[in-house]
Amino acid sequence: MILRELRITNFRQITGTYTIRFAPPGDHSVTLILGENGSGKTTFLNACLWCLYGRKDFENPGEIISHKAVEATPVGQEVKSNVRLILESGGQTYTIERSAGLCKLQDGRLDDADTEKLNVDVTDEKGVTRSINDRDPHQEIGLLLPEELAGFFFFRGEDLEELVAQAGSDKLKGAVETFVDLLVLDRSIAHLVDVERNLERDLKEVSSGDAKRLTEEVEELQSDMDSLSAKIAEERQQEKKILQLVEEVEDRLAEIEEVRPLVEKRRELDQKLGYLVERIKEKRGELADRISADGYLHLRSDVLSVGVKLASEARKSGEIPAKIKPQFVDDLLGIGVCICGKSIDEEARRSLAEWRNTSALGALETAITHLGGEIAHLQRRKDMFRDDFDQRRIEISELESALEITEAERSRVEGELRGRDFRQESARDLQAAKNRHDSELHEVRLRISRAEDKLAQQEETLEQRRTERDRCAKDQEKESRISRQIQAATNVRKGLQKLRTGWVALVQENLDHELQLKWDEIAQLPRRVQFDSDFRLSIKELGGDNQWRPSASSSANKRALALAFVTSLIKLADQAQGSRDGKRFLFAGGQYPLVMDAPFATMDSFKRTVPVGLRRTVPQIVLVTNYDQWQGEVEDALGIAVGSAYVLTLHTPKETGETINFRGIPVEYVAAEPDTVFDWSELKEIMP
Amino acid sequence: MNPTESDWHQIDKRKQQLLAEIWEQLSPEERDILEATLKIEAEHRHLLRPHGLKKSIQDVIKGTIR
Repeated sequence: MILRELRITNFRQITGTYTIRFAPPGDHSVTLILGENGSGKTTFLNACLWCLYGRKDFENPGEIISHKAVEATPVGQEVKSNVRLILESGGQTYTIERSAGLCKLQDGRLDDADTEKLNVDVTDEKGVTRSINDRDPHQEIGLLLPEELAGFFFFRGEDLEELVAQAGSDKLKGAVETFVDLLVLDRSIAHLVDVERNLERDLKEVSSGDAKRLTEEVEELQSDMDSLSAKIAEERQQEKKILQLVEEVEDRLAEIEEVRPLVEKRRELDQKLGYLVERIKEKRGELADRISADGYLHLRSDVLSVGVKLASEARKSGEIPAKIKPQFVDDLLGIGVCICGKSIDEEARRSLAEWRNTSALGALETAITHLGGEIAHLQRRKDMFRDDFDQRRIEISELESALEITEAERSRVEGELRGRDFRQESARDLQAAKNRHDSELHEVRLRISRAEDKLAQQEETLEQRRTERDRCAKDQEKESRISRQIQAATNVRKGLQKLRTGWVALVQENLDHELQLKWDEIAQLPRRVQFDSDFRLSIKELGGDNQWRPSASSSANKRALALAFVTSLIKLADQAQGSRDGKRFLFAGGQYPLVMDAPFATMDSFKRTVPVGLRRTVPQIVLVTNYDQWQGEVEDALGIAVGSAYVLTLHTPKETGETINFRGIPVEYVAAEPDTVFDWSELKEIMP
Repeated sequence: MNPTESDWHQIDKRKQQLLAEIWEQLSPEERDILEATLKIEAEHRHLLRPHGLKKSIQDVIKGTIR
């Protein structure tokens, strides 16, 4: 089944009529539909499923027709929603069209008449078109893609994770059984059981004596066995519920285990942040003290330079150093002898003393010398202050950078931790709950095992009673014949049951094998993946002791595993094609597309490998995603294979719109429409 | 299952083997009943709730084992 075209009219949020031409299988087999959250990406998926099966898995299923289209329709007139899907399968082209039309009433509401219509036309290789509405169109669509399998080919990203959960095993079992096509087998088995019961009743009516007694015993045994089988079925349901609880607890325990390094990291980063904040505070304090002590020197550097300038000018003008120092004169006056050896008389003494007293040069020189020393000291303090200031600034800057890096790291760790379901229970509480559930599981399994043993015993007793009865009825022709008929019906039924069990196991084994190959291809992560005989998907990782152990699966791992399973199914369907030629009543198999709504949302670690793996395996991909998730690795992996591209432009009462860039072309992504009452979307082709 | 067996044709082949084993264990009359039962069910498989199939199968059994 390959998608060719989808025409959509007024379906839910999508208002107007638009056509998507899907990229065909080949090198450019990807159809990309970009849309902001709320623009109707899931609506597109719902439109496909509504068209094929009439399925309405959305909120307010009664509101199929676009609100905006209803608003624009005059009272008393009909407003229509219509989806037409054209697809190819087995050399024929199928045009499947479903529509719903409702009349707008006086009060603005729509009448509630059920007016859904389905029309299916088939065009053969020669171009001859015929309607198949005279046959059962639902049946025809079911042969193309059984509804039980549709969820594996048309899905939302979050649906993928459900497949890996305990609750998903029923869906997976359903998928396998659909491939095996058990309808005929199951109906045959059920009808043969009824026939056996009818024949038992016939026998009871015609038999007498011991044969009658034994027939009654057989009837009673069968009734007991029915009750026991019903009880086992109930217990199995209970077992599933408990397994689901165990799984939930294990997930939470694993999450505690998984996040422990992150929590520890966050604690370590918090400590580091505290230390850095303190150090910065301390350094800033030191800097403030330093500024307070010597910062004025920086501001008064002109005063220092004035002193230096004055001294320099006095030296230049020859004022200093003084030719004769007053001390020198004092010394001469003290000893009373001149340097020439003459004694200093009274007159010379008077002149010298007068000269010494009137000369200020010596004092100036002393003052300048003293000032020079002080200025040099202050200059050194000023220089030291500058060096200290710079040094502390560098230290603060380094600490601030470290703080910034640590804050970013903490924010990243916090981001990883955010969104996880941190319930208040401790690991010990969870372990206690797990022990309780394990014990309940043990009990229920014990009851099942006992009931199955009892059932086997009853089966054996039943056989014995029948054999005894056959012996008693041997001489009675009619009784003997009915006994043989019962025996034949039982043998045929048992053979069919064996065939059923064996065939399902074959397909399960095949998928289990294929799953590992697909996992290795699309996830490229060393894990052992399994699809076990209970139809459960699981991931195991190699422990330190070299043993494979169940792995705590992240959301990304679960999605990758589910996608590996889906691609295994696609391969199986492809192989099944042809082997069922001529069996028109069976699911035909063939090529299948993947229509995915936001599949890579939580798959950061696989954003490149998974899309590349899917591109290699899946013949046709329709990817519906928002622009943020498309950009980057997904675009790198799938961009080259895009054959057609569309945008769902969201019209919303916002003040500002948004434009994105697709291959160099600006594309309206969100249109601001302040007057609009309802959000609505339109679809535009954007492939350059 | 080894890698060389991992395709639909092998599954089909093994299914046929399984069917042959089951076939071997049935008497000729039972084989007729098996064939007839599957044929009746297959012819009516398109019906959501087929009626009268139980009686048809019972008639086949009664007609085969006299």
